[in-house]
Amino acid sequence: MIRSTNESMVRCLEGDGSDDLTAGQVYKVLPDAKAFRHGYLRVIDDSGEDYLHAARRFEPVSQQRTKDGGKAPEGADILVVAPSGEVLLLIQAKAKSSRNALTGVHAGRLKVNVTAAPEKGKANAAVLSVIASSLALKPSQVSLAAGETDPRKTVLITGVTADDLRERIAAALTE
Amino acid sequence: MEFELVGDISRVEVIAVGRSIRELADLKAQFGGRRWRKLKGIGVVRLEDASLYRAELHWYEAHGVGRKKLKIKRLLDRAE
Repeated sequence: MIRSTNESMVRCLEGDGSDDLTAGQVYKVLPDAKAFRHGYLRVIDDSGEDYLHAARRFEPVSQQRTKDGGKAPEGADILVVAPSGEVLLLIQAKAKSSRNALTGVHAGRLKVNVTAAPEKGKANAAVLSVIASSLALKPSQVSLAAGETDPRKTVLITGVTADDLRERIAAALTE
Repeated sequence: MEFELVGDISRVEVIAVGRSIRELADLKAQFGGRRWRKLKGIGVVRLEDASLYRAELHWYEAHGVGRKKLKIKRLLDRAE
């Protein structure tokens, strides 16, 4: 049950992709008080644009906060564990950067810089390669789940637990 | 269905055609069709709480396929 428009991320409970919502997928919400009063949320759906969707179709994604209520700790919000046990990593990719590296966490996403240009999938391949090498994963464990043409991508990671992955991300960011 | 369209859609404009549509590949895979267009217009919708609003609507259509993925972009004002 969504109680306010302050939720920044929500998980879709029902949807088969026919109206650009997929069950289990996590979506970003933009504030729209007028729509919320009538039971709708403004969600950036699979089309990449924000549209109004019925709030009953979503549940809030819990966000771990520090004790002082400040920003989420690094590595907390950027992972989503799918019901199947696989881990989804939310990233913000930056192509044509000066280096290939994980550069930090911003707005609930792991920032991944790559030198490759975003053309013909080069940057996507580079992003997956940087994630695999930085987090000591095999290339076969890392695949792109969503965001092929969007800097905000969702990466599916198999064969590791969320806790293990958090430790690896924290270690990679402190190097 | 998250809302019900009441009556016709007016002030229809094309906002993207063919390759300018982000979801073109998905639309073709899901519905077939060739020349897809993304359109917008103003229509009256009945929301889930039964209130009636004029709303900006966006959708896709292709020749012979019809209106698909009709969605509310924003609520404008109450319709009586």
